[in-house]
Order: sequence, then structure tokens, then C-alpha cells
Amino acid sequence: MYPPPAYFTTRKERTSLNEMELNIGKGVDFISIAEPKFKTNTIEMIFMMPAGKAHNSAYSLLQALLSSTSKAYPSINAMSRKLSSMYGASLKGGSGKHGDMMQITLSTCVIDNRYALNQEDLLAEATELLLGCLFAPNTENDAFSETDFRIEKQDLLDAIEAEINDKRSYALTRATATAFDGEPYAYPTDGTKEDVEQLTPQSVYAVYRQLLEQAVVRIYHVGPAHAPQIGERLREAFAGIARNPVPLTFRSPSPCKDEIQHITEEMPVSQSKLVMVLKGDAPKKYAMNLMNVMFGSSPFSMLFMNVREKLSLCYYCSSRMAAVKKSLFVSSGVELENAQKTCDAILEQLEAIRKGEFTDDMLEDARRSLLNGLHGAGDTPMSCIVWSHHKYCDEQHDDIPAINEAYQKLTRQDVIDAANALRVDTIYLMQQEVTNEQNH
Amino acid sequence: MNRITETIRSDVTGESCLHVKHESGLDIYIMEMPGYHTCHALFGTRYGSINTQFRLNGEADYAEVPNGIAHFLEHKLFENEDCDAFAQYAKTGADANAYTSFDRTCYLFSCSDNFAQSLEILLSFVQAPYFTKENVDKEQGIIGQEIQMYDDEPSWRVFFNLLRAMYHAHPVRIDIAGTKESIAQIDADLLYRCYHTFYNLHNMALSVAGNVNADEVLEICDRLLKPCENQGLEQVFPDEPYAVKDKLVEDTLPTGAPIFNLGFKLRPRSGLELVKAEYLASMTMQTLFDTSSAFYQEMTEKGLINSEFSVDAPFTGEGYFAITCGGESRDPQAVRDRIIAVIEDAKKNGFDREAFELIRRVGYGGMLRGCENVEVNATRMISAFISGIQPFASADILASITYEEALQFLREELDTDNASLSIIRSEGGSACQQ
Repeated sequence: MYPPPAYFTTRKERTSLNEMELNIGKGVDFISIAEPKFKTNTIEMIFMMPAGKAHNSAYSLLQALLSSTSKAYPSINAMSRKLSSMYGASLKGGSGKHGDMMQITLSTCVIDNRYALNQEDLLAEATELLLGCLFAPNTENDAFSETDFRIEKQDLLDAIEAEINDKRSYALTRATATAFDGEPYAYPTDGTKEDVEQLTPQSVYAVYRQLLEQAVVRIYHVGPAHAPQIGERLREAFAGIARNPVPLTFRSPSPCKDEIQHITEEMPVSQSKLVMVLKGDAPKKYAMNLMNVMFGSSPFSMLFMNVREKLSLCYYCSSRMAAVKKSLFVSSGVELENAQKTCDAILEQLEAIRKGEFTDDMLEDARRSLLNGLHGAGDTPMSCIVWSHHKYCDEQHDDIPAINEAYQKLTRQDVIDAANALRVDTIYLMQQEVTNEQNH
Repeated sequence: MNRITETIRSDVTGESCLHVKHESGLDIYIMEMPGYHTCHALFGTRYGSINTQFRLNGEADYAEVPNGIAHFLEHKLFENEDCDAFAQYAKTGADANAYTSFDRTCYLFSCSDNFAQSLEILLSFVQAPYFTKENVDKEQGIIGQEIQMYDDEPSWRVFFNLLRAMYHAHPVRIDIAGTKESIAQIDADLLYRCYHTFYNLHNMALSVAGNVNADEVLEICDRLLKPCENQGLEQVFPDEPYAVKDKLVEDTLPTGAPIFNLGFKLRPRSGLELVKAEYLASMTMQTLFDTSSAFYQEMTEKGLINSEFSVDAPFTGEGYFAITCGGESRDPQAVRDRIIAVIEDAKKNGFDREAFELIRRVGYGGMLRGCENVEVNATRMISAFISGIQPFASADILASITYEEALQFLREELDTDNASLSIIRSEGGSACQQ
């Protein structure tokens, strides 16, 4: 009844996305991706700036201000009504780290014009709405509206306080702060409460102007057909800005510490959280991706099969890469008494890969998993943007077919070399209070 | 193989799918989506954490099983006599998972290559249980850690505290994974009993969408489905009083601002009546409280709520129906009082008809947006089966609901006195250490 133990062949080819790229200003590019299967149009603007203590909080507050109101829709209420009238179009802002770089995003998604019930030109409306948010925000005298500023500042302060709510993610943030100490990547995406308290409607406006003038900008459109008119409209809008884009560092490998840093914090929680940060650069491109799938990012990985399934030490024990930092995070939720045992078991799995103690089947399983993800690229508008942007940020600008070919060529030795390149940098433990008996 | 086949279309979104009543008893839903690279498949049963008392044709007494057993069974089904299902999926490259909720258990995979082989694995392992004392004992530790993980999540804890405050006896008040004590009572025999009761194909559905071919799916189903007899499953739920159990429940955990969930307990329903009531509740609550409402603007300006505030989809199922909302606030009681005042005012004076029509537009847009997503389509089809309605039926209901019906629903069904508020605070204030 089951498929035979031999693995299945996976198709060898995968085509590129249907992209058109247009330079529309100094350091501003418009990328149109057409997929007839889609029923929506998505526009996403990505602004790239160096990360760091100076501006992370301001970027975070800025994206919230730009995506909640504008001059034309000067309250959350008015903006929300406008979006509802556009069949629930989305308007989202975001800020996040990409290595030592910050990416500030502003995006909208609206149903395609052919589904509008009253023949509205929703794509044009969405384009103007987004341009209004970016170029005509709710400001006066070089400052954001006091009311908007107060609401969004409180929201950001609340979000920073709420980081503790998700214990797994909080543990990763704390480990990151130590493992990348001294690098922009160490600094929290939203900054700190103290940083936020320093911000004013005027200072965030100054950062806004800086972003318009200095960020490297990529604007993606994904829809059922190319929409060159959006590119032209954006070109007009950016023409009024004196552009002077900053140089960016896309790849920022992190040096490994000579001695492993151990951090322990006590919390009134019922489960301890363990995070291990490893660093190292695989000699062969993409080899770490393959090693990561085999080591800990899949349900057939060595961490899942051994640390969870065989040893029953935890519900989750997995790894994920921070590729541009040339680092790998392992995280797990464990009983305090099992923390050391889990730590040892994780390192034993890594050692096994270093020594080549894995079968060819395991290698091919991992490769197949990577290819499965790659071959599905472009089935959602967001996936189109992610892959296209990945290509831009990659040093060699690898396209989907190039990555496909590279995955196919990786060898067992490449994976062994990748595992051997890794060194433990930091071990963080969120320790459950010893007095806190399990209250179930 | 005998099959009854029908094509179901949505006049609202233009989508269509194939529904097949298979000879084995299984309901199969297939949506072919040209131009897509990926496929998504779910094999699910109407069996979740609330199904704890049941009997089959000819059985005199109702069996009562430990809390958390549906979820435990889900974990164990991945392990077969020869090997693990994840190891099988590794041979196809598919990304596989499973989940258990209050009213369902679903096994699923997504893939872009080797769809047929992955579907064979899905249908095979779900039909081949293998439970032993050893593999059951081993799972206690893993699930114990899962329970503890959720215990530390304020959003999870605040919601289950709310359910325990609203419901006196209905099993919806019990954590889906059970407790360490309840899962300790689970053994291989109990798992087999639950499996043979609820994993009968008459109680299950298969839903696939994306880059699939209906003939290929049906050929695999014909080959692998094991016909079974309808066993006449009967279930009972404890009597649940109309009134909420507690109006206020508070707890502590490391959090930022206090987290709250507010729930209004309503009369339960089923089938199409339930789906209509869900839309009436959801559209009315969105009109009164979403980001375009006067309430939202006023409360954010006063600093009483932040962007975490949201009105949830109605929480419904066999024997329960609640409208819930929640978020973060330094004064959750003040938010509750204002929400109740807004509802009472709307009952008395009506509410913004134009805003109500905009919410309908938002619903239409949301339906269309979901239609371009492989996973959403497959999930919507199996959800319709679990709810006992046809795929796309909800789109017609959304289009047909009137303002007058919504106002009547609000006046007659939403009793603001029958509400519970659940709050989680940090012991001694904020726990954040930056």
C-alpha cells in the first residue's frame, strides 16, 4: 500500500516568474510580475536603509503612521472606510531586519477590476491611495499629526512590552542580542521603549524625509496582467524628490566568538526555552540550506526524529537560518531538568552530520524538500514578491532556475563541509522558576 | 466504483468544484486550479476535542473518554507499523502536517511535485492505525511539553479561561490537548475505540485543490479507500445552562499590557441556520467595532485599546455559539462597558446602514481574495463539509442578508448581560525587561 522505499524523482526544471523591471528614478525600481491566475493586484514598496540603534524605532513608528492615515483620509476611521469601499482592500506597513539592513514596507492588495461590482477602476484607486500615504501623509508644518502620533507611539510601546507574550520569539530576541552584540542586527526591530520615548512628530517626519531621499526602493506589482501605468505614475511621483540613495550591505557575516556565551534568565513560566546560535559560512553556496533541512528545519530532520521523537525531550526542536548573517538558530521548549540533555543531543546530531553519519536517502529527502518549496514559488502574490526580492538581494542575482540547478548539484561532501563550518556562539536559556510546580 | 458526482458552482465568485460521494462513504471535494504549481490536500474527520461521549448502533451505553484524546490520536496516527508518515512524505518532498481543533481533526500536505504519491501516503496512513503501549507512553512526554508550551502563551490562556467562564459543562471548556493528568489515562485500546468510531469514512472528507487532476485523484481514491459501513454514530453533550458561569475571570502570566477576551454567550444552532447566524453576528459586530467604527476611533484616541483589538469570527459548533472580541488594554472593564453600551444603543436606535453595506463588500472581497489561494480553497471546502453545508453556500448567504435581519438578530439574540470577561495581567505589572 505504501510507496516503495526508493525515493521519487523530482522534476528538474522550473521556469522564472514573468517579470518586467523598469528603473523609475535614482535607486528606485518598479518590478511588474504578471500571473493570469491571480484575482487581485498587490503593490508593495520596499525601502532599504542601514539598521541600527539610531533609527529602528523611528522606522517602526513611521511605517505605522504611513499605513494608518493620509492627508486625504486623515483618521483611522476614514482610511478604514475607504478601504472597505474598495472591497476590503488591505493597507499594510511593516519594518524588519534583513541582516544589517532595515526594510520598511508599505503595501496594498485589492481585488482585480473585473470583479468590481460597479465597474470601478480599483487598481488606479489603490495606486493613488498608496501614493497618497507615501507622498501626502497626514502632516502639518514638517511634523506628523499630533493625534496620529500619540496613537501610534502608544501602540509601538505596547508592542515592545508585548514581546514577552510570545516566549519562544522572546527567547530568540534575547539570544540575538547577545550573539550579535556590537552589530546592527543585535538591535531589536522596534528598538526599545527608551528609544520610542525620545521620538517626536518632528523627528519622525525628518526620518520620513530621509527615507524618501536616501532609501534604495524596490516597488513590486503582482497581478493578472502587467500594469506599466503604475510604473509611470510612480515615476512622476518620485520625480519631485531629490534622490541620493545610501550604499547598502546585503551580506554581513557575523564573526563567531572565541568562547561560547551562556545566558540564563529566570521567568515565571512552566516551560524553559533553549536557543542556540551557531555561526559559520559554508564553502558552497546553498549547502547550508540543504544542511539545515537535514539537521533541523523539517519533520524528518535529525532534530525532530531524534531529540523529539526518540528522546521525547520536547514538542519542538528546530533550526532556522539567518542566511545573510551566516548563522543558524536552534530553538526548543523543554523541562528545565532536561535542558542540558537537550543541548547535548542537539550537538550530537550536528556532530553526526559533520562526520558524514547520514544516508544518501536522508540527503535526497532534504534536497527534495528544498526543491518542493522552490517549485511552488509564485503561487501567491507574496511568494512572487519574496522570490523576486530574494533575487535582487542575492550577490549573484540567482533566479529560480539557477537556484534549482544549484540545489541539484549539491553533494554529500558539501553538506559535511557546511556542518563543519558551524561553531556554537551563544546558548540562551529562559529558565522556568524552580518553585513553579507544573499546575496541570 | 460507484460514485455520485456533482459540480458545484458559485454564482458570486465564479469558482467551481467537484463533489463526489464515494462508494466507501467518503465525501471528496476537488478543485482544479489551472496555472498553479502547488497542490493542497486535507483528509479530515468530524472529530475534535469536544467529542468525548458517544455510542454506535446497537451499543446500550455512551462511552466517555479522557479529555485530549482526539489530539493524542492525531499525533499517534503518524506512526505506522513499519515507519513514520513523515519519513514517507520525505520521499515525495511534500510538506505535511495535521491539526486538531474543537470539532475536527485534519491531516494535510502541500506539494509541487509527486502529488499522486503524496496523496497515496495520506490516504494510506490515516487508514492504518498502529497503537502500542510503547508508542503511546512515548507520546505522553511530547504532548506534555506541548501542553506546557501553550500554558505559557497569554493569548491561549486568556481564551481558554474565557471558555471556562462562559461554559459550565460543555467540553468546549477543556483544552484541546487535555491536561497531563487526562492524557495519562489514554492507552492503545482507547485510541483504537475512538479511531474506529470517528475515522469511519462516512464521517470524513477529502479535499484537494490546486495543480490536480480530478480523474487522477479519484483513481487513487478507488484504489486505496477501504469501504466501511455507516455505524450510526450518536453523540451526547452535557446539558449546558443558558447563562454564563462567571462574568469575570482574571489570571497572571508574564505579559505586556493586560490582555483581555470578552465573550457573549448565545443560543447554539446547526447547519444552514448556524451559517446564517454566524454572518449576522459577524457583520453586525464588524459594523459596530471594526477599525472603521466610531467605537474604534474613540477608544484608540482615549488609549483604551490598541491595534491588537479585533472582533473574532463567531466561535461556534455543536452545542456552543459565542461572539468574542479581545486585545490589549490597561482597563479591560472600561472597554467591556463601552462595548455593551454601543450594543445597547444599536439595539435601541439601529446602526449605520451604510457601514453595514460596506462590511458586506469587505466580505465579498475577502471571498474573492481567498479564491486565488490553493490552501484557502482546499480548507474552505473541508470546512463546509464539517459545518454540514455545500461549498460556496456561505457566499450566497452573505449576499442575501439584510440590515433588518441583522438588527433583529442583535435585538433578539445578543444578550449583553450574558457575557464573560477574561483578563491576563502580569504579576506586579509589566514584565518587560529591555
